[in-house]
Amino acid sequence: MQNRWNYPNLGLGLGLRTVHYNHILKNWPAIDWFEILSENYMDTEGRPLYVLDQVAERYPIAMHGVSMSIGSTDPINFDYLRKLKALAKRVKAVWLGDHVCWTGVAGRNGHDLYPIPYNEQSLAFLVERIRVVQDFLERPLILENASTYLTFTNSSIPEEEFLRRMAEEADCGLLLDVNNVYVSCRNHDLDPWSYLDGIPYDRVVQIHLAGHMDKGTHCIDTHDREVIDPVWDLYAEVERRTGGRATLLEWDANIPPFAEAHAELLKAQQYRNSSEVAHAASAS
Amino acid sequence: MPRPLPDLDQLERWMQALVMYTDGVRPGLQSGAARHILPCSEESLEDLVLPSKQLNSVERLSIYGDMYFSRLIEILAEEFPTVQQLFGEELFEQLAKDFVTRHPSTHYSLTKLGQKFSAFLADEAGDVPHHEFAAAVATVERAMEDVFDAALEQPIRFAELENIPLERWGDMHLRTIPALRLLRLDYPVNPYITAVREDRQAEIPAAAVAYVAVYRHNYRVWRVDLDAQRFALLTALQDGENLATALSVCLALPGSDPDKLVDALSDWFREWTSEGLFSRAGSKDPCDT
Repeated sequence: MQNRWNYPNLGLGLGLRTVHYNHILKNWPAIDWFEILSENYMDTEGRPLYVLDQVAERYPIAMHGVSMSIGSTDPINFDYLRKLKALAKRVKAVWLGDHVCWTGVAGRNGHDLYPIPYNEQSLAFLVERIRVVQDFLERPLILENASTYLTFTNSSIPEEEFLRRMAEEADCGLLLDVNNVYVSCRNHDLDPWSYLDGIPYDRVVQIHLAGHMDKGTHCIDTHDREVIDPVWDLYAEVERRTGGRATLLEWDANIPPFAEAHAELLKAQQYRNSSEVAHAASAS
Repeated sequence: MPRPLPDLDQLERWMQALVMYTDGVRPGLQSGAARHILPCSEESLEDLVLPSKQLNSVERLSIYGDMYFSRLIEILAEEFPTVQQLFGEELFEQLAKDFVTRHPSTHYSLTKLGQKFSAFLADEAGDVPHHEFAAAVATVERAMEDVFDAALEQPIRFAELENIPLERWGDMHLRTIPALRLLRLDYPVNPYITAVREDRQAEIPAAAVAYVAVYRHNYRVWRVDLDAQRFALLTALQDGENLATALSVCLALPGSDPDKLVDALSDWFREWTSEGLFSRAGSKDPCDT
């Protein structure tokens, strides 16, 4: 299944992280693509941008932000969007996106991905904001399902249905983080496999994988360890349903050497291969 | 009668007030900041936030509250490692928490978070021992953060200065690179910072005026002690004065010797251009162009 914009399946990528700069510049590793945290490069003309310019000459770059605060009731920050757009042009970003969340309100910033209530009011608000931002950026936004740790009582729409309606009504793309699906479903006593049934796969452009911390009573999306088997299983299912999407492993704390992170990423190959084989078999 | 459903704006402001409440979500529910937006007690919290099978509503909200402070304290510790070492982890954590509470982030980038930390230590942490010394250390560590990201301008070489006819030198303006900070401090903090960052023992020095240049060269950040003359000359040039005026500022310093200054100038400019501190030389004020 193609995504709605025919964005390419870039293969397997890693997040571009400072601790790996020297390794990458020295070895130019055989990896399909990199994802950058947009905000790490928007306000600097120092080494991060110097490194990024070189990486962008050799690899496809996807931009993924954490500060757009698309769900905030504060005014849209057009200075932020201007910088985002300029960076996307500079690195020829294949796509750019952020999260379905808010990060602050009343002029303050909590620097976290806060949940919104999934109801008709939020949906209408979010759809309008996404349209405005997309018009400004002149490209679709690829928005990720965030890990959440609470449910508002006035949420009346299941998250996956909210994402589907948001994507269709705003005509935006989705970045499906399968680890977040697992984490949120654990935290909200939901079934991740049912969640996958509600996703509009023609709008899924990219997939995220990551490790998380299981605290027993709840899970925290820590990006600090290997992907667990149940998440790999969800990934295989999403690959089966989409026919294959650009896949990225996030590792943002206790970051191991590049080779170790790369090896963890390459585990995805077995799920991609098996799902593609299964997909081909079912199609024949 | 059931509570009317809050709108999105109310809910966000209320949740933010709780997450950013210093003492935690549970006391935050009783705070004026949260109750002013949505009056809600712990008993009625389920009207706004559902419990899960494992966690009650306060515990679920507290996940966000705990992460808010731990993340921002971690960011400040990364930016101010010498201040953290000076105070120890426990006191630093408390100070960082106070700072974040009084000066919450208003920018999307976390790199801006520590901009006021030095002023906070100097002006709002008066009951903490060595807070003035810590403020001076924080000034330097913050400058290192600033120059790391500052705008890039290609530096000029000494040869370009040599080509300028001698008679035009007095009118010459030298534009310093954006990635240069010139700091006048009340303590000689630079050797202390170096020792701490090299994991060596360091004594807190006695108060004394000190001058430090913090700059970026070839994408690396450097800290260099300056004497009063060099600091005065560079500062005047950075402020847009021409070389003649900058030198007169220098010569006005107590104990300045014009002959020695003239002898030293060539070496100073060789050193500064080799470190890439100037990006333009011309007879017009480069700040005006």
